[in-house]
Amino acid sequence: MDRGMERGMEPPQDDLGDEEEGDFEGGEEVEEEDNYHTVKAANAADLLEYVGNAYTFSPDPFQADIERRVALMFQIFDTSHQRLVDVREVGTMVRSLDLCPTEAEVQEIIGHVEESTTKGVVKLESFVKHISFVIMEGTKYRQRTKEEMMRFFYKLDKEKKGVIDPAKIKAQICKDGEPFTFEEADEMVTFAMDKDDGLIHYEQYVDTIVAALSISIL
Amino acid sequence: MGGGASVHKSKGQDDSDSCNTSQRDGSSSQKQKSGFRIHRKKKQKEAPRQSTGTGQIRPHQGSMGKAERGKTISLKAAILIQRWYRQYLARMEIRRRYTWNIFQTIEYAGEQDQMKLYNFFNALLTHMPQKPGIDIGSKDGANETSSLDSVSVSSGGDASSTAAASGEQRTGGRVKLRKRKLFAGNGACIDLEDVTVENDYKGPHVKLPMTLQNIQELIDGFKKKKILHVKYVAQILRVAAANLKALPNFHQPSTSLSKQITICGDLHGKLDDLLVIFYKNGLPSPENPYVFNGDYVDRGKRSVEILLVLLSCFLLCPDGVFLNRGNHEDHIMNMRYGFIREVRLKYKVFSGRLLTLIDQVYRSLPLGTIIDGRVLVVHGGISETTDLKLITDIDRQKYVSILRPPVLETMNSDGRVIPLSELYSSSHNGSEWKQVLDLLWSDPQNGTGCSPNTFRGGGSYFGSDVTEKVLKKHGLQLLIRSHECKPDGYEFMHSNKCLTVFSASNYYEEGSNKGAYVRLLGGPSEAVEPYFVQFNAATPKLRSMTIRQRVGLVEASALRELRTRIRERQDALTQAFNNYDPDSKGLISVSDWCVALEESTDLKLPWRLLRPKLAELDSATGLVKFATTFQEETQSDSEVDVTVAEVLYRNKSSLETIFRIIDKDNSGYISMDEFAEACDLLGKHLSTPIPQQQKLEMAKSMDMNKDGKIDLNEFMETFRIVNAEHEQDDSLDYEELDD
Repeated sequence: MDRGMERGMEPPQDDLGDEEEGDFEGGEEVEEEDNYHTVKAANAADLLEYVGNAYTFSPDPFQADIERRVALMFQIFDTSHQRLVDVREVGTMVRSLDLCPTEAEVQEIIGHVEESTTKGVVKLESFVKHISFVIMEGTKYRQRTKEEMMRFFYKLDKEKKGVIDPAKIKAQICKDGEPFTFEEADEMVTFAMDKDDGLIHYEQYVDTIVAALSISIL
Repeated sequence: MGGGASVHKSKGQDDSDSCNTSQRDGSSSQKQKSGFRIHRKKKQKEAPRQSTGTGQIRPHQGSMGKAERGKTISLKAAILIQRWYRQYLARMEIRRRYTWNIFQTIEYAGEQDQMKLYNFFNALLTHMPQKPGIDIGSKDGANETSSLDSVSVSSGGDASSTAAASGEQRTGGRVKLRKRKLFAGNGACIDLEDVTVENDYKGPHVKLPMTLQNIQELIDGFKKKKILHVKYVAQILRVAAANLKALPNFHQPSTSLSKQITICGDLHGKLDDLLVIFYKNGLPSPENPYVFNGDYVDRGKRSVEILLVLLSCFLLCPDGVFLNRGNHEDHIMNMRYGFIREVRLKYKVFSGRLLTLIDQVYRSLPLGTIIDGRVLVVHGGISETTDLKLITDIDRQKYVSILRPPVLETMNSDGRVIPLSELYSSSHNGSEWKQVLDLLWSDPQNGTGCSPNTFRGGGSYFGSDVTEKVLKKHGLQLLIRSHECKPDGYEFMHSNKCLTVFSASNYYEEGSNKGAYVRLLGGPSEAVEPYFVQFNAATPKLRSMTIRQRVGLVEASALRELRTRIRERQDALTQAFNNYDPDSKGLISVSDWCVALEESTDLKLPWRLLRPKLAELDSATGLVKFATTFQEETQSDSEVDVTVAEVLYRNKSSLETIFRIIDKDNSGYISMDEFAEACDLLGKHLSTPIPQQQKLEMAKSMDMNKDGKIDLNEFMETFRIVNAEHEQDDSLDYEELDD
């Protein structure tokens, strides 16, 4: 039903322009390759030393690669070097691993990985195990493509002029879904808004974020 | 948890909306931002309390009309936009995170060095022969103290503080705090409080006993960057020290009348932050009581002013101002972190004697505050051995410096000096000194247990079980501590039983963090209810920036600092790189590069993440071109020709500290003999001895005006010449104060 709705309201593909669409996809593929390359290089002695006996990486090279990436992310957030991280960091860690969960889904992940005996912390092994499984599975918390994002903005853009009134977006994201605070919304709108005409040119905005997200972290 | 969370959320949110003058940064959305009731903790998980919970997503139903469809679309769009933007924020958070790591790691590495200096000081005390040239500053009282005492670490720079530092540690109060004649380095004898206030003095005037008007005038004067006259400073310090001394080791305020109390964390010489707090929350009074949780001085440029304002408030209203001691209320810390330099710049020839008075204030400061018998407020934290009863009975006056335990505790029966590590080990768990050190230096950790705080080099890490146990043992409900900078100015840990409050905004760099204070509302009969106010004393420029720009700004500054640090270790690094590169290709693997950096700099950082910012990859092989690590370095990477000056330069901060130790009378000069001693000691400290011949040549070339002694500027100037590109690194930028 969900998807039916989406399809029903979709603008014709032409409206977005074939050319641009091709661009996005090309961009993403290159990105993935790049990621993969750096991850390979991450087979490092220092990481193995950090992980120690706490986790045994899979014999399957592809899976082991993902596990190492997750472990590396964990290491960055483990300020006390005890293979423990505060649950409050889970959202940031997961989102930086190219997953895109909602807040509710972050809670769901926390439900899986939080230590039952010591509340408020996550152990390396449970995190790596669960998150690498989610990534391997590849169906959950999927990151949206530029194309998908454009489609949604297009729907909000009633006059189809490629711009949206910041006030409208602000009202919406503060009210619906998992509302932003006014502060957050302000910050986002300031970021998204064109400095000259005070409107959100959403394609530009989508491009900026896609570009920011495509920079490989690990 | 959506429902429960949003109840709490609303309070915190209202608060930050009304009080926050800054923008949120990426991290905020990841952290708890709630005001909440401690008694509810059982019901809620210590989990991300985001602006929403599951309950608030409205699922759409099967069949719907057109209007509902439209609604659904906009809802879906909202969710999508939100989670997408949150993912973007997470990216920013990662950058902010490693930037934070850099700052904190470098900060704590400095503290670690400082703790290591303890061993160095003790070596100084025991092994340094008494030479005529050394005790220039100890004419007064040198006779009555042993040689050991006369070379003791004395920032106060005159012998009375020396005597206080070691002599009194044994007698427990032989040197009385009193209005006494003090001797300047040149032998002149003036009482600071008898110094006449010149007619052209334009700063604020203070007449004891303290009045509200005095404080207003003081604050107004400080806002206009006036410097308070030394006569008034001395008066305030003397009376404040005497009054503080009479207090017990723990303040024990009750909120039964005021129905509320405000707790502020580290201020670190950032007067603007204190003034913002007073502006928002009012001046302290019995109805509006404050706990200031230590670390008033160092780092910021207006430490003197903060100290004076706080002490003045205390004098006016001892029932409304509770001052705790922090780890920076310690002259050994002040040597490195800038307070001594600030006092010297502002008070010139009087600085030595003022510092002596300040030491008296430090040792008189109570060690913590227990509010209504249920909330413990201490600067650092606790350890598994913390016993408040035991601490209640100790004589805190003997801890002139917390970094330096009383002499008796550090000597074996055979007179051998016990190294710090040993002193701190389990066999000395019961020692008074460890009890005090833990209160002022510890940090909480995720997980459980208690271990030595190796990151800082002093105090403990304490886990949630330790918090639980120690609170329970003393019938307490909440631990409030400071000591660590937090992005939001406050942070809960340990199932909301351990709260960190940090009040210096923009601590590492403009935009790095908010400041916060916490108010506990309701009297002792009601549940403890923390209420947070965040603020930002930043420039308007900062406020109009987006997250990306702010993160970028802070990041650039962190990387600059890191590069300086890397250059200081260039020799060791080059050698390490070469070891990994037996064929001299100039290329090593990323992993080897990371290991080399971690080992050589002693900084635990996510090097792999930082690599793209610090060194280039060879595109063909994917290996690191390691020479690019020192991009801004022009000198040859061979370590054969390392000159003494370079060695000295690379240890500049240690050296400056040592300069201040050797310069006992705080005159700002050291003699040639003193310099030679310093080189020897530095050589030992660095395990790179400096040849005698070079040492003398150095000393002579440094003495630019050939007056037979070296001042700090000559000292630094020499380094500037040796390494001209570091000219701007010298942080002696107080010119504006000299008007």
